[in-house]
Amino acid sequence: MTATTPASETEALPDKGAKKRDIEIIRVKDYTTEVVTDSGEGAQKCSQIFASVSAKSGNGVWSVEIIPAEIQPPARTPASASGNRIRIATEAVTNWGDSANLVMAFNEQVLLARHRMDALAEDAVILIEDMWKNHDDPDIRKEWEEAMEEMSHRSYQFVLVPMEEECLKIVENPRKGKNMFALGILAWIYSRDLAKIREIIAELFKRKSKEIYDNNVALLDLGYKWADENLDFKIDIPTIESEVPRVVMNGNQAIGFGAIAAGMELCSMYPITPATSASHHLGDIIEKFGGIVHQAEDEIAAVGVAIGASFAGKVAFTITSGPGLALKTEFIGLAIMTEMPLVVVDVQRGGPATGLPTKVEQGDLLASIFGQPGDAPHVVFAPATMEECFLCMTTARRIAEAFRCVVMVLTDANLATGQQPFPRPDLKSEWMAAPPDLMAVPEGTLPYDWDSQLGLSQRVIPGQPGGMHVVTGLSHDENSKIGYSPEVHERGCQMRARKMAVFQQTLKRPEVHGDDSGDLLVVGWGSTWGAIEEAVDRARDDGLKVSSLQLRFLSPLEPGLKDIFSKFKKVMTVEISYSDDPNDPFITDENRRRGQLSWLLRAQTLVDVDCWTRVPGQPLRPMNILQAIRDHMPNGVKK
Amino acid sequence: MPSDERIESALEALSGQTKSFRSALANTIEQIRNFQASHGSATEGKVARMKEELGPFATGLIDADKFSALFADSLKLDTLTLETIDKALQTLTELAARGDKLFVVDVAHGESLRDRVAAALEDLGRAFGAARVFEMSKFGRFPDNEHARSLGSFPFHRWSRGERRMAPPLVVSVEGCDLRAAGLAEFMDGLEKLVLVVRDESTPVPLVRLITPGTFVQQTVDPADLNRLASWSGPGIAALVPESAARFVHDPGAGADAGARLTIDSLPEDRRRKPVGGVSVSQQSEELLQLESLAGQMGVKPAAEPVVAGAAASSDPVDKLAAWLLSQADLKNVG
Repeated sequence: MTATTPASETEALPDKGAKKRDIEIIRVKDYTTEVVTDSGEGAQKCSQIFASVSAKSGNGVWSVEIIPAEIQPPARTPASASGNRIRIATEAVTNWGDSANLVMAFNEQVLLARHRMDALAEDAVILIEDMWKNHDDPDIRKEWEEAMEEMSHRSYQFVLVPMEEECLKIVENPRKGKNMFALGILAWIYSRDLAKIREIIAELFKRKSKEIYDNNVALLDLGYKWADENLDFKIDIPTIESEVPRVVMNGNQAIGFGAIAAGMELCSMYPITPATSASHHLGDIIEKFGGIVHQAEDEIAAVGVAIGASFAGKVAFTITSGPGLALKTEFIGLAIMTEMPLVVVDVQRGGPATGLPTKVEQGDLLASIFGQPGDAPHVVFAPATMEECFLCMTTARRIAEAFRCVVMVLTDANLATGQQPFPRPDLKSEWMAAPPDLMAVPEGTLPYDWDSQLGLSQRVIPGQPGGMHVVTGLSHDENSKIGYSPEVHERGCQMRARKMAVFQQTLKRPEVHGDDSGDLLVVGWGSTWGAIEEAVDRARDDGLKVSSLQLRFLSPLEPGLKDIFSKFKKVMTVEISYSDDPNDPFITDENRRRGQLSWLLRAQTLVDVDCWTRVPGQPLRPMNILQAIRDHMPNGVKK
Repeated sequence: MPSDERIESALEALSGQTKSFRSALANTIEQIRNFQASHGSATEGKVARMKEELGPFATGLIDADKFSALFADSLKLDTLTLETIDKALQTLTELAARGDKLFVVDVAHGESLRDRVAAALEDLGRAFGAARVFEMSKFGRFPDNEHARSLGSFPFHRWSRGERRMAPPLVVSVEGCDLRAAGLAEFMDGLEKLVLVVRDESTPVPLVRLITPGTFVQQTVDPADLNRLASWSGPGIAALVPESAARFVHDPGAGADAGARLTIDSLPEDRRRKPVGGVSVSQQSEELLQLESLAGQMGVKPAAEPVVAGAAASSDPVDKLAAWLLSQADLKNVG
């Protein structure tokens, strides 16, 4: 087989027996693989192991899950496509890239789904299960032929793999084993260390029987052997020796581990996709560090428990996703009114309502900032990578405690389920900080002894001698007594808002990626960071005067934005949230719905911030952002 | 200090409790240092600490100088208070630096066992005194000059109930002739544990006078037996005695029934006595009889074949008389 590659060479490898065959070594710095199967065939596990072992081998990795909207959609349909994209590179990877170069497909229908989403490179190498081609069922044969016909205009290079036939040598139900067979093939193609893979399998199946482990390893070895005997190409992605030890994890794991590193003692939650796995990871280990995961009876109770724990002096957080955030709204308001330190992690998915439970969207931005009756100032920020997911929990805790406020951390399904290697955090005892001081409160200290200038007040824990007080969701005075005069509510609102203004003054002016002035500034937030910067870099390589700005703090906003914007002819946000296309029917400048960050920036800076947004239920691709940049360049489109 | 493998074994057996105490020491030291960093006068220290507390995510996003300035003066402390807190820190640091030596006491020949133990606990108690000084100083509530009294010495009788629950154990090396244990009763509270490593001959049942329902009391020759003392969640004392002494254990955790608490492994074969230190033969006999009496009251049968049929344990008048005579056999030496 011959693949179009940046660099390739051949070398003779011994084949079975005495004869030798030529193996093409495709040497690349950046290569993207997809494993796509029917839901339930284990593509996730196969891909996660492959991504993990690739990262451990020293490559940069970014993986993204491809998850169907339903738990068990009909098999052999495009809707059933489930899997993972793993982008592997010599250097660090910050996004899932443009398209897949190599695909491992368990049937032609799930492959078709990816083809229809334009997810595959023009010359993608596709290893596909061959049992469907000559299946006994004529309908299936027909579906195969139609799918191949539909894809025939592309230059895909197909390799038929007898997965079913081979797996039957080991297991009775190949549906439960093809993923490990596929993993063996990938291990051979990418020259991955089988011993490392076996270690990961052992860890994954440690609670299963030895027979299950043995079968999985046998299938892995079988896949490796099959590839060794039948494939004539290998992918070589050189590695750069890392000077520091690295860890590999997904964003939800990172949030969990980061919470422990931040000294958080209680994670109170109710299961919701895609946030749930964070509590699973946390639940496995937090008790070793003196904390607990509490699964409440519902979302409302979950945040209520966290607020109660915080009132008692514990370091508590809750984790949820869009619909859960909606349910928690009233209690989050209580935490804001009572100035209770609380960290809320929102792993965003598509909305509204149940929306896209398994898919990414940045649609909770405005809800997280403004989704409260009355004025409810609090902090909202967003990490951009898995590493930041880990590290931001310390910052969230410190801000929440220092300012007696709610801190919302917005991640999303892209960060939550994707894996990325990053330098092992250098843990500090200061991150865990000392527990709240429970000594006697100085006489005369009020529960809300606001500094009139700063809006800040000393946190008082009811268990402290002299600290006993009642909190109320009603508007209250400094003594936590219900206010009966108009001034009380006015002053409370003023103090809660003031401290957020004070916090905003501690934020630094954000740094622009690229030149500080130019034709177009692309502004993003959260997980789109890597794709935006990659697109901007390509545009700059093409000579376009474009820069980008990725915001972390969204409420309050980082300072100096209006000034930064003024240096560019045009400012445009790139977001995974819905906006109207200005060319669509009935859409005018007056009624156009814009990207959520765009709304926010326009309101805050009075700058005419444009937007390019998409809600495809998957991360944005650099090539699409690049095209949007070209389309939005002022002074005419430059292709 | 005499080299004695039994001291190391005793420390090993009590390592859970010594580690807890040292860990509490280290935590308090850390807390004071953190407090000094955020309330001391050095602005650079406050900022550096705030920077660490905010974590690497905040680097480039939050100005630690500005952030720190908002909170550094939230609690204003005067120089005298800061100096007092520093003295408390020095006390704790000095105690922590001693390592396991903190928990070992050597009673020289002729010294009072009770006084040496009291002095050692008074010295260790300075850790509690220092913690109190720190906590109260933060709020300016410590009486003038009180800190000097608490940091210089903090005797057992001033320890609070909570402090006695965190009491450091002691391993005490003492000559048998100086082993007058009754004076140690006042320290049997909270979680205080004492292990007496007895050098040379001792009286047969030196610890019997310490048996009370809630106190673990053990005489043994094998340091491995100390694990029972270590696992008891109350006050306790054990003596690693010579072979000639009685071996028994009174374990309050063995059961609610009094009979279950006392187990006598062996009693001295040789009933002939001579005074040991200041303890007369009569006193020794009293102690033996007391053990046997307790055993009788508790319905205890020695684990091993009893060597002596104690008069007090018998209802036979002849036996009682014989035992009395035996106890009076060396009257001339009664001191």
